[in-house]
Amino acid sequence: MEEKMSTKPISLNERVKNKRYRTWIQIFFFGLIALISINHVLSEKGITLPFVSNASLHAICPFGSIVSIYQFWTVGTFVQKIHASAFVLMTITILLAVLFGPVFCGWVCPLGSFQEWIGRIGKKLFKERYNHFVPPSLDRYLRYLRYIVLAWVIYITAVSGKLVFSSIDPYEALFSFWSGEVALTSFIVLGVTILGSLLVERPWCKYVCPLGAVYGISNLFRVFTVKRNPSCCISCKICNKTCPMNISVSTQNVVNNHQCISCMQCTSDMYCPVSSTVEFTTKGGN
Amino acid sequence: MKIRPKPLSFMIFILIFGGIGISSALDLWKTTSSKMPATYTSGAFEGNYNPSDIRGSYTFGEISDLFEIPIEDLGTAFQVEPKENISSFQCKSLESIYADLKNSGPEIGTDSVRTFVALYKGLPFDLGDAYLLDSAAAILKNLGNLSPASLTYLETHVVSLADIENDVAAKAAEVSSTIESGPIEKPKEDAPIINNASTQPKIENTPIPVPEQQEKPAQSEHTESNSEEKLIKGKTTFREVINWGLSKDSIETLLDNKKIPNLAMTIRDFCNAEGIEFSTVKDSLQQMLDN
Repeated sequence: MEEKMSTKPISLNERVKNKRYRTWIQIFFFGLIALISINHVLSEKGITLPFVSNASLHAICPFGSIVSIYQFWTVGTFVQKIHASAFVLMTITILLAVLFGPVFCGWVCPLGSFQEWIGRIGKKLFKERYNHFVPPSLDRYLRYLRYIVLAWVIYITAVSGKLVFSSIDPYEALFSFWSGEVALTSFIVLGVTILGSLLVERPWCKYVCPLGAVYGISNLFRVFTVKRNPSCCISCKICNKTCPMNISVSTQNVVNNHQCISCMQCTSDMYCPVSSTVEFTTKGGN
Repeated sequence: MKIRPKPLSFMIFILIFGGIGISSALDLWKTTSSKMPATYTSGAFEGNYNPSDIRGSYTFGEISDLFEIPIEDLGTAFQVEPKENISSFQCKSLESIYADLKNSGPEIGTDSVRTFVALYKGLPFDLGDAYLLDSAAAILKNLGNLSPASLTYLETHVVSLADIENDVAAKAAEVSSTIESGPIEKPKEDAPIINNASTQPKIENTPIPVPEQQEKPAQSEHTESNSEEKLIKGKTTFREVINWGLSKDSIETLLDNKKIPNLAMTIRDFCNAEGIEFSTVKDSLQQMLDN
């Protein structure tokens, strides 16, 4: 017998507010990273913005520590340009992932947010076709490409001791394009990501991001997960349409797809029209 | 128990900034280099600073203090003058000064400084693909303590400053203007930081000719060694050395009769695990291969 969930309705205003929480968090972290990056470049010229860290981009990105794990474990040093702060952030974001899944991807990562905002232009241009350009038969295999990228980056960094990924990192290109230190290849990757975002939502996240590959694994065991109550569900499939990662939420009772970014857009708190039907909850709870 | 967007937002904030706060309190939150390189954890040089951990942000003054290398030698090796600027000169500045050189292959940068320091002090170091100026090579050779493998490395990884067709002076002046003032007197804007042996060359956008002996197959320092060269590097495995003609028994005899646990293991990793100095083993194996 299906568990009966609370049917307290969520007003439209409340749904709008709920969506805005995520938007404001995204804007905050995007702005913060941009400010820190600007301050870093300015500090090298003797100018410093008050109350803003002047750390380098690599110091505030958890991925640097992931590729540095091998060198830190075997030699006790970090890969060039990586600092202890990246390890702290890695620990924090892994804790977040254990609790809430890849919530870093869905709420914090400025590159992910940037792709979403570009994607809004794509939605206006292509309407119903947006986010459905890649044939499903190809898309299902391409979704595993990011694990190959992850393995390759970790291996190459381990054997070379250099931050090889920085030469193709669109995050670095996006937040350092004024510094003159970004590789041309990074700009090319960023350009492809931007163009891709006009056609597909979060293309970098879906197909390439090695950090997303790491966090995506947490969807298999996260404490809070997306649960759908089939007894309340009216099969409108709005959850499928709003999911940026093209997950078919309407066909699952528990979403443990490795691509879920815990954005909560499919939930009754945001886009699902029926209260308490799709919720972000603990596996055993209401 | 379900969670809604508003409390989730707070949780994200609390965990991220709370975590950063706690790590700051524990002195774990470091976003810059401590200017204190890691040390060797085993072997004959245990406790000594490891040149492989030199960062681009280190200045020549800091390197001179840490590794006890005369600042004049660092300045001469990388052609940094006048002397009052050497102390505050950052390693990473070399990359911008010699950026044109990098386009044609050889790279003079922080890796070059690491290599120079390691060879100067005779410290264990994985000689990769970093290049040195001929001035640096001359200083190292004059020390008289280089191993045969190191000398061979210098023969193939040196760039002659006189061959560089580059407006080094203009780039050096640009770097000079970004060096912070302080205890070090700021140089005059028209004083070049790089001293070219000849008069300052004009800018010419032509590829920088690399002497023939420096040409080598393009390969990552950590791919398997070129079997035709039979040159032992940091990532050379026991299997490769055996394929080049040495017997397993002879290798184990050289290693004080320690058994090789896995032929796919790199020699360096084995030495680190056994507390043996890799450079000594490398030189001995190289001699056996060359004979």
